[in-house]
Amino acid sequence: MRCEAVIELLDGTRSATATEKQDALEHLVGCAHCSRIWTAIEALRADRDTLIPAPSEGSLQRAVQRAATQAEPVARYAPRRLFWRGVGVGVGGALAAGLIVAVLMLRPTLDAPRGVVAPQVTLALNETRNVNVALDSAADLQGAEIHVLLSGAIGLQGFDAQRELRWRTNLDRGVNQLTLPLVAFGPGGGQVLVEVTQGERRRSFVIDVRTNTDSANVG
Amino acid sequence: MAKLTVIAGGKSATERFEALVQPHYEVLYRTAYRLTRSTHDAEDLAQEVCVRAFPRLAELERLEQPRGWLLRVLYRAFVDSVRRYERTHVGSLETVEEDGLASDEPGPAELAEGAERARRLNGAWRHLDTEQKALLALHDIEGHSLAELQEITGLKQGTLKSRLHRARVRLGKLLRREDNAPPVIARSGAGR
Repeated sequence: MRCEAVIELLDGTRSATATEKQDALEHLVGCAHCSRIWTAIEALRADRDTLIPAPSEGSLQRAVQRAATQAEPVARYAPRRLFWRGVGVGVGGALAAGLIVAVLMLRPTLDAPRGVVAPQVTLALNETRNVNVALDSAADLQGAEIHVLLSGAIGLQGFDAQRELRWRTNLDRGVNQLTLPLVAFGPGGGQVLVEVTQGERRRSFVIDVRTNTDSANVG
Repeated sequence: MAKLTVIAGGKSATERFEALVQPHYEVLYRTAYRLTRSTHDAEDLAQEVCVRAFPRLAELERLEQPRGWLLRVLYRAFVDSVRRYERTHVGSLETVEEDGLASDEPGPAELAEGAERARRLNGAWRHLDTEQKALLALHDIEGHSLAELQEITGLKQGTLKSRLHRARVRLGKLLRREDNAPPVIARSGAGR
C-alpha cells in the first residue's frame, strides 16, 4: 500500500473498508514516514477537544469599536481613504444607465431637484452616524472628483469645522461606498451635497439631514 | 457613469457590522486561537479581522455566507502579522510565545492529560512556519475540507496537498522529538 493512500485512509479523506484500514495500520508499524504523519494527525485531532479559554468579556465589542475608530481618524488627514471603498460589484447595465440619466440632469445645488425627493436621515443631537452613499458605476472611472458640501447645523466627525471637502479618486466598476460620519450639532438639521465629476460628466445628490428635535416640533 | 443612493438605514455602520460579525465571532476567535495558541494573540487577530473587514461592510452585507470570507481575511491577517512580527522581533519569538502559552494553560487536575498533550503540541507548534500552522489548524483541527482550504488560502489543490503533507511530516518529527525530551522533574522542599 502506498504511503499517500495510507494517510488518506487514516485521516478520513477517503473512505475505507475494514480490511483496508487493517492494511493501513499494518503499514504504519513498518513505515517511519507514515508513522510520523499519523502522530501529527492524532495530536491535532486530540487538540479539537482541548478546552479553549474564552475570549475576554466584551471582546467582540472592542474589536468592532477598534475597527470603527481606526477607520475614522484616517479621514482627518486623508479623506479619500476614509470615503472610498471600492467593492467592485457589477451592476445591471440597463438599470444603471436609466438611473444615470436621471442623475446627470441634477444640478449641483443644495435645493432638492424637481421631482426628486431627497433622501432623509434623522440624527439625534450630537449623535454621529455613518451614512453610506453607494455609487454604482458601470465602468472604472479614473480621476473622478468628489465634492462634499455641508449646510446647516451638521458636520463631519473628525473634520472639525470643515464644511467642504474636495478630492480626486478612482471609482471601481460596480458599487463604491462613500461613508460620511455625520453629526448634528444643533437643531434645524442641514443638507449634504455629494457631487461626482469626471471630465464633462457630473452628477450630484442631496441628503436631507434632520434632527430628532425637528421631528418633535413638526409633530 | 454613476448613480447615487443613500443606503443608510436605521442602524449605524458600526451596529450593522457588529450584527453581521457577531454570529461568526466565536469561530473567528477559536480559529485564531488554534493558529496562535494564545488568548491574547487570538483576540488581537480577531480584532485585526474586524479592522480589515469593516471598510468592506457593503461587500460583506451582500454575502450569503460571510464566514468563509471572514476566515480568508483571518488567514491573510495571520500570515501578515507573523511576517510583520518576524521582521521587527528577530530572535525573540520563542520567549514571547512561551509567555503566552504559560498564561493560557487552564490547569485543572482533571484536564491534566489534555493539558500535557496541549503542552507538547504547543512546544512543537512554535517551530512550524506560518503557513504550516494555518493549514494544520484549519484542516486537521478545525476540520475544513481541502476545497474550503483552497477558498481560504487561495492555494491550488496540488500545492495545498503537498504543503499539508510536509506540514504533517514536520509536526510529526517535532512531536517525536518532544517525546524523547527528558521529563521535567518538579522539585519541592516538602520531601526534604
